[in-house]
Amino acid sequence: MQKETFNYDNKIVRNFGIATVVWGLVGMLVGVTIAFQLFEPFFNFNTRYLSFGRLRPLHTNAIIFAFVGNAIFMGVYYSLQRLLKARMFSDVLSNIHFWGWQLIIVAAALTLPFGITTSKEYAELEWPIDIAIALIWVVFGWNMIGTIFKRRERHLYVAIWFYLATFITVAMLHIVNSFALPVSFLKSYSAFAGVQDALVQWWYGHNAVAFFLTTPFLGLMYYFMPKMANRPIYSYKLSILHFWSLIFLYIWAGPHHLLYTSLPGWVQTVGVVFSVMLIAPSWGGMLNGLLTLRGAWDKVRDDALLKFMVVGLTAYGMSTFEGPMLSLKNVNAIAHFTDWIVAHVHVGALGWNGLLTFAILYYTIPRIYNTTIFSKKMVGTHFWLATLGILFYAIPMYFSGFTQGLMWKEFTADGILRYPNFLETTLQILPMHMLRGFGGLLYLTGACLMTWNLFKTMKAGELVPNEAAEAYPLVKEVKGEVAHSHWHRWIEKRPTQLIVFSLIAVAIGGLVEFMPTFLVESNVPKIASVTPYTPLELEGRDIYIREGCNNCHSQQVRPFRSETVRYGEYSKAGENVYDHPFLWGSKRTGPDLARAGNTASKVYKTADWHYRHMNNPRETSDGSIMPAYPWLIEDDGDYSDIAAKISTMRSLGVPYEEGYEEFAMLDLDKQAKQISDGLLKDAGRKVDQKKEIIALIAYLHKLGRDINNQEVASK
Amino acid sequence: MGKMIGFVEGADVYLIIALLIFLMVFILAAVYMFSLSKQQCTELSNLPFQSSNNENNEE
Repeated sequence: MQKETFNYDNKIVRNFGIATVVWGLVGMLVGVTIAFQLFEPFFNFNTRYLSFGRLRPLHTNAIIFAFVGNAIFMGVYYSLQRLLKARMFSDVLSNIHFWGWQLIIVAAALTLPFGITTSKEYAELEWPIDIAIALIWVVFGWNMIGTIFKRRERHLYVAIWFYLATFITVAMLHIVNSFALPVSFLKSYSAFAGVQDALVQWWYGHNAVAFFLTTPFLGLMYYFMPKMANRPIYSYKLSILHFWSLIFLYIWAGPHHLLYTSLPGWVQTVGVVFSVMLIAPSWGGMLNGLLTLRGAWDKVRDDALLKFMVVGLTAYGMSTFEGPMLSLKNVNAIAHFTDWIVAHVHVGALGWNGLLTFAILYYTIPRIYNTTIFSKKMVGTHFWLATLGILFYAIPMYFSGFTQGLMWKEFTADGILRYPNFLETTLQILPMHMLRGFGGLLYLTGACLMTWNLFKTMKAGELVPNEAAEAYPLVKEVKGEVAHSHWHRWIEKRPTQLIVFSLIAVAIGGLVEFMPTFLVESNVPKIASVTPYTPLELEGRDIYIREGCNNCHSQQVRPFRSETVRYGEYSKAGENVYDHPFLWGSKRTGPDLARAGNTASKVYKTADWHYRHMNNPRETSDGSIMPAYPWLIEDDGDYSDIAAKISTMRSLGVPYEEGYEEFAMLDLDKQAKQISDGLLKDAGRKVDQKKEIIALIAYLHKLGRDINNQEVASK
Repeated sequence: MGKMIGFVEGADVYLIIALLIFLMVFILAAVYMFSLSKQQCTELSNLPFQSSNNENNEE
């Protein structure tokens, strides 16, 4: 049989490689900036566009979707072509994918600092961008699957199973979590409310980590680790067990983000059980990677790329041990909402995703430029800067997390909170935040060094845009041959069936968790005294979302004495039935606000206190690290969409009366005047009722007010 | 553990279904894993080394 000649498309690999480096630097720079903001508010630069609440989602989106996303595509386009012995299916699709993805990133960078956000973590982008993401993702999948169909290698190597599972699961997660009803071109409300929104969001959030930050990187590890070590993967058998167990188990674990919340208890328990089981396949992957070096550990001493891989895999092992541990309810009770979670996430992101990405860049760029790396020494220096950066980041954050968790819960011998003022716990951890900022700076310095090294490498070589290759064409299988082969070998040759089985595996978990919660009404008992937001409160809530307050303040009082004493009555599912989206948050840089409007709660503050606090947090809370929000006091609120907002909310099931849109503005003005008059009467402060601060005060005073001295009446 | 599950109303059914489904998937994958011959494994794990050309540039 005659060999066929063809070309690998290296240009698309180069493009995604450059994008990885550029967006990585941007994402890390924003990360360092917000790390500095968390010990010195000066770094908010007193401008709304750079305040922590707006920059934090920019950082997470830039790292996850821009840095890691482009790295995935770079690695997939490089390895897929070589594993299938075929050029990508379509150069046009490759280019649409590349430019479409970059435009989405630019759109994120242009909207998030302006406060255009849905507030849902890692899914903050508004609906037009969500649609663009779905379309571009389909283009990626189309191109990948098309390449698989025109391949010259019959078997699909394990890396490709991970790529396919990534494609299908991310599509499912993104589409379901993005269900929303638009109010205007850049504003929408989540289709789900309260506890159901929380369940969908953390099903997505957890599996974004699983299927965007983990499975594609496992696929890349299965290709690049053997190539770098020049030896096959330790155990192909383990890779099979590891793959199916991992994709099946991961999807169930989302509810561990919502332990002790008002999510139905049985869903939490399912989340815990599967999270604990998840450690087995996760460590299966890590060990398979590390044991590939069995008998060749001496290579690690001299080869900086293998150093990156080994530390990256170790970080993966550490964070996947820590994840199940954090899912245990007794550990979670202390760790949740603290800096421990931030440390956990960054061991994964900086260690696993970052170090693997660096290694893959150092591996691919010289090869597609037909040269060698400009400076091996610089690669070594980068490795140590990155490793030290991770240590300086993670260790202080663990220390900070333990400190916070314990201080929040400590009682004196007389049975009162030892640290009743939340600010005391914040001030205690500032030195750890400074060290974390230093760690981030080290990591960023290493990335800058890599950029220079890769730039010089590119200058020294010349891109081979179409790399010549040859392989035998795929011959059709004879029927008898199929009958004798094993069922898994059968599926390894059939991408369509592999996709279908993977989809079934990942869909089961979501369906078992969602269906009862959505269909059984008893899962979300209603509370008679809980009413929909007034128009002014709704506008105030949108300001809260715009400023990203949920990035630092939770709205979920857990059923612990330390929390009910500090904040008030614990949260119930029925309180959030009109919350599109839910705003429970995942971190307490500041105190919980679920009872901010409940006059019986210790966290209740007057309208004047809120006014002064927003204008300058240090005036009311000495040493506070919260940014100032003077624009809320200076700017008039734009309430021109209030009718559309009421109408949209009604469509989502919020019981506003038919035709209320016409009176909404009158009600809004009336309530605003009441608050404005109250400020004048109680504090002698004259505040125009049109100012945004009035709406925000209205919203904050709504939080928890409905259950104030209430008789909870479950329907 | 069983005691705790028993106290969560309705949870037992979902947990048991979930665990059974997983067990099924896990057993199927494990059975396959053990039935795979060494030769097949070697052949499959060598797939990344079959691509050609300037991939072996030494740094």
